[in-house]
Amino acid sequence: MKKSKSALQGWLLVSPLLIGCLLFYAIPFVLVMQYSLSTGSGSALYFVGFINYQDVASNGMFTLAFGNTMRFLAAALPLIMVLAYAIALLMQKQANKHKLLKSVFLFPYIMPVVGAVILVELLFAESGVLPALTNALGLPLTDWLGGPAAFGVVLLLYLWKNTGYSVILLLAGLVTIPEEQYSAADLDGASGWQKFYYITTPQMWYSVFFALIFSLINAFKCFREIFLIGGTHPNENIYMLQHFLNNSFENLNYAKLSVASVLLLIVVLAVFAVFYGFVRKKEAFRG
Amino acid sequence: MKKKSSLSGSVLAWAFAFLSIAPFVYVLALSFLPQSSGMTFHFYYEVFLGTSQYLVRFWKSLLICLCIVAGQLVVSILAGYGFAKCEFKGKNALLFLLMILMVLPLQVTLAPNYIMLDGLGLLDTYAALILPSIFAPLGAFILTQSFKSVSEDIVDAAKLDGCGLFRLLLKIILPMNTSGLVCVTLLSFLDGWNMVEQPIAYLKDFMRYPISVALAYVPPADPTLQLVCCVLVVLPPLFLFTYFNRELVEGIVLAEMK
Amino acid sequence: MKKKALCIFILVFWLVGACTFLSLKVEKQMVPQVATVELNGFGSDSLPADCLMMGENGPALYSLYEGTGWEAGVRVQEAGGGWQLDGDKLKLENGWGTYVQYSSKPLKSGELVDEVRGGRPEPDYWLAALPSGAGAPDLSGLPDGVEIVEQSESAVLLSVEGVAAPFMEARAKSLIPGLYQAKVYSFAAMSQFLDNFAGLGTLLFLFTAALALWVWSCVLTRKARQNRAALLVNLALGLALLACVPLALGAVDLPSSLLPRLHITDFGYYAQEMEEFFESLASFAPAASAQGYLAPNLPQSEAGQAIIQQKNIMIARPFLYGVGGLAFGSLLALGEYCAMKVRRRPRIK
Repeated sequence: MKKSKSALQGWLLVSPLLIGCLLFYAIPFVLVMQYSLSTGSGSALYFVGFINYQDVASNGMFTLAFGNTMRFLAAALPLIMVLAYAIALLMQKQANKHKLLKSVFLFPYIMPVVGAVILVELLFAESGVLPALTNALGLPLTDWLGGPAAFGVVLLLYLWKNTGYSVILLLAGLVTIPEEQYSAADLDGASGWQKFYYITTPQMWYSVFFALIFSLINAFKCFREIFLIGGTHPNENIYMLQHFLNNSFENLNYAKLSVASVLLLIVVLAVFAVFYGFVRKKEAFRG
Repeated sequence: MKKKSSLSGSVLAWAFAFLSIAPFVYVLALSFLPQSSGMTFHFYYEVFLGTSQYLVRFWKSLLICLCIVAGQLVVSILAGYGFAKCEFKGKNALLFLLMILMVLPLQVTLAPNYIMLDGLGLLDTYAALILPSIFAPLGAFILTQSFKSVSEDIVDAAKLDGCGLFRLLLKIILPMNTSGLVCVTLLSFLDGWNMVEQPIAYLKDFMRYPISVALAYVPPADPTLQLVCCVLVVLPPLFLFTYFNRELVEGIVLAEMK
Repeated sequence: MKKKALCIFILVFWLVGACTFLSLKVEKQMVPQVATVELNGFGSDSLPADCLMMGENGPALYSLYEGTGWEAGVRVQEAGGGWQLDGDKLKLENGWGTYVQYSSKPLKSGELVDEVRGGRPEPDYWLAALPSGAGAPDLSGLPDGVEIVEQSESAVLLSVEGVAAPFMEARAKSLIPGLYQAKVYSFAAMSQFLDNFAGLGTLLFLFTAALALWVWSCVLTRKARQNRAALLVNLALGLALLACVPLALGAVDLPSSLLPRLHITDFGYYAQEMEEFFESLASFAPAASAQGYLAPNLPQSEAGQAIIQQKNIMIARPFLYGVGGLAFGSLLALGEYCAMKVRRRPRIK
């Protein structure tokens, strides 16, 4: 009796979110899947099977965008996790000393998009500070935003903006590990690495998972800055999947758009499911 | 040995802190120094007194963001409590689905949303910006984790005392989860304040864009003016950030499933 | 940290709100009024010579255009094509469009303008401040309706029967060529300017009262829990003061001809103008010896005396109102303090 009441209550409470999500996320996505399997538009839509998928998979722009996006994620996510983890461990050791610094870490996250764009242009554009500096030093690097260095610039921007947030997430997890475990390990003569591997890591899986999720979300949001700096067709090193999607949207090429979206979803789903299962297994094992 | 590592730790920490603040100070300093002449308040005059377009747009954007945050909070609190404290079939599957939706980049749903909003007749209005953002799954996800940490005993005790649902929420659960609520507030505000793709896609007239996009997409003639506007645009997030600093720093609460 | 952040940012946002109202007003006030001449291929292909005016870098000819984007609206720009001064006509190489003939204040390339046509003629007095060492101006052949009221070595006061509403110095000068080198002021404009001192004073009152309330609130936040009621009252008062700002601004209407070119807050410019104006007026006063020792140093014309009287009344208003605002805020603070003390008085039953 109580269970069904609780179930009903549960459904009622969740309903606003569900209806909204249904309206603005789920149904649109079903539409997307429908488009991906058809051609034509509006009422002239008819089912063509997987031809669109074949078309897109062999499309040069798509493979470039997909490759770039995967490259970016493969580079950015590990880097940010390592960096944030290192900083978090540092702050864990000296937990009460850096109160001011703790608050300052999140500053880059609140920098508005305008500010980030202006900063990048001030520092890296042709008339900017850094090219002038490298020129003065005699280094050949001058085209920061136009050439392969653009990838590095975007990566740097991403790391600057989002490390602070990941640090806070990881620190929240680190802080819950009891101090006694470390002291006991010290008594047993454990080295720093051993302490990290045997004490810290097993208890941090959930925090790491959340930090990873948020870093992934923020990595996709990084598109905003790239779009505002580079326009719809930026340098080929930073032409992301979202550029491809955006341009297809502009060209009203819904088929390409939909296929790319579905493929992206499949990849995200796969990676997600694997890591989620992994984390749950680790937690279940420990718990 | 310990002193040495503590010193190097301090140095590193100060280095990171410097890197975090330096760009802001740089922007602020440059806003007083146009390229041709020395220090001047001219551009501050231009943005704050000379013309009303920047400030009026600022307040409109702020209003949009407040709507988004209010809506997100209400929807997320309800959904979060539902997911955290109630049992119903398919809950875990739904949660997983929400997580996936959360991670997807915006472009994936942008085009079909455009068609849907067109069908609802909401295109080219501010509702097109506000409504999809209210139903973003991020808030519900965070609050679900946060509410799970409230122990069942407290909830049961309150129910025994005859506490209705809303009183339970307001008096007991919300005060215990300020960190999570602050997190949701800040994240949804920042998402709304930094909205770029949606105004470009859904609004036809660029003069109706919220201020952050308008400035970046159609930059005003002078770069120093852009810098001053950047200072203006950073004020609300800065306020939220400094006001809720304690809750944020003391741990964005993602309850351990211990 | 919370209290400090809240204190500072409440002031910041109040100021931003006030600036929003101010900027709406300033935007409208700084728009110069222009009288235009159109060249459209029919009729003459040359402009009257007085279309040439002093631009930012030397003499310039301004034409109207429609801006887009952030710069929407009717604006002026320096006409690029060549022009040649030919007697009293300005010949243009590629003349087409609308050109500015007279403007109520110096123009800046790219700024918004307001085109005016006609306007009901009203009587006015013009005060011409002559540059030193230029000698007496040639005022023979004054047009109908213009009379010399007073004249001295450094200034001339003329009365004009009917002239169209926004005062444009160039238009006045083209009416009376003899004043070419002088700086011409309009009594109507100056009188309007002085009238606004009351409104400006009210604005200053609102600002200083809000500032006083803010300081008092910051002091109160030290014991925020205890002083909750007072803080809320202060917040409400602060918002009410903010709401009064647009009301006060509604009463302000500055004459365009007396405004600076770039920044409306250029107080040095105003001071300089008023100094020149009233010194010129003072120069009409007969020599002290002729009048008698205690007679005031006033020009003989009624209009001159009237405007000096107006100035004497209005000049101190902003300062007085500002101080009044501080006093008002302080009184409120004092009242709240007393009310809190009274409420917390231990009751003896």
